[in-house]
Amino acid sequence: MNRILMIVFSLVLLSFAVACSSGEPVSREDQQAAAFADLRAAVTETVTDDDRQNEVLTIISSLATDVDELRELLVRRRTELRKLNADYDATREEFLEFANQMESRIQNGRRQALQQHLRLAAAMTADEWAAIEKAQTRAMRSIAGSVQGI
Amino acid sequence: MIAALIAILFLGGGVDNSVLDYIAYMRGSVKEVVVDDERQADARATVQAMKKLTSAHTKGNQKAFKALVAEMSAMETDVEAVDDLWEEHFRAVEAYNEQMIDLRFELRETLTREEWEQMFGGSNE
Repeated sequence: MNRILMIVFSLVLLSFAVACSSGEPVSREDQQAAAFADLRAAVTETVTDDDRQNEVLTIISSLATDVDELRELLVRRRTELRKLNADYDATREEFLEFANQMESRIQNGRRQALQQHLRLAAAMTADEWAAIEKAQTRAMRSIAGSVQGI
Repeated sequence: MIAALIAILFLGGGVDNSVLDYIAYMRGSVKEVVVDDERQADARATVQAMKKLTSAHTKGNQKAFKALVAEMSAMETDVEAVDDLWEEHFRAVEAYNEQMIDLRFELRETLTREEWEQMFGGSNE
């Protein structure tokens, strides 16, 4: 099973590398898929205990969903704020309400992120943790970049 | 790298995208839009204050982000330290938002409706 997963992940990574080298623009979705495939491959290789491996992979999938949701939130936030700011007659109360709503969403995301982090730490040994933490890839950095760039 | 990803999720968007950064939405410069010298000077001063505030806030965000990544990189995360970092960051965000709202309305008072349209109109696309 692990061998099959590794082959699938390798093919995804290979597709990503070919797309990059061909000079074709790579979408954020493709970059993100490649980054998480890369991370999953590192987990599959590093965490050999089946139960813990499944737990870590589940958390990684959940993180991918969280990144998608965050990106959508940031795009929506930008659009809503532009619209509100363009309105000469917008009131201070409307701005305060907007800021409060966004802060509330960020608060929820913060709690969720900390929980994911603690679950990950609980599911791995210290050696596995160190190995995964070192699994830095250009694709993973691009996820951070794409979220920052919104 | 997971630590950086979690820190971004934790902060709700990383370090370079402040919630109320209106400067990013300006379509024209104050100099181009406001002809009246006195109001132009006032508006420029307000926009400059916004830029300065956003720049300082971004630096604070970067500091919080680095500190969080350091905490999240450790397996034995000090949850209390993370909470403290969050509280400090959140207070800074609240203060920034409040000041930016004040400055936004200061700028709005300085500009006419037409000038505002030229500066920020078409921003709702």
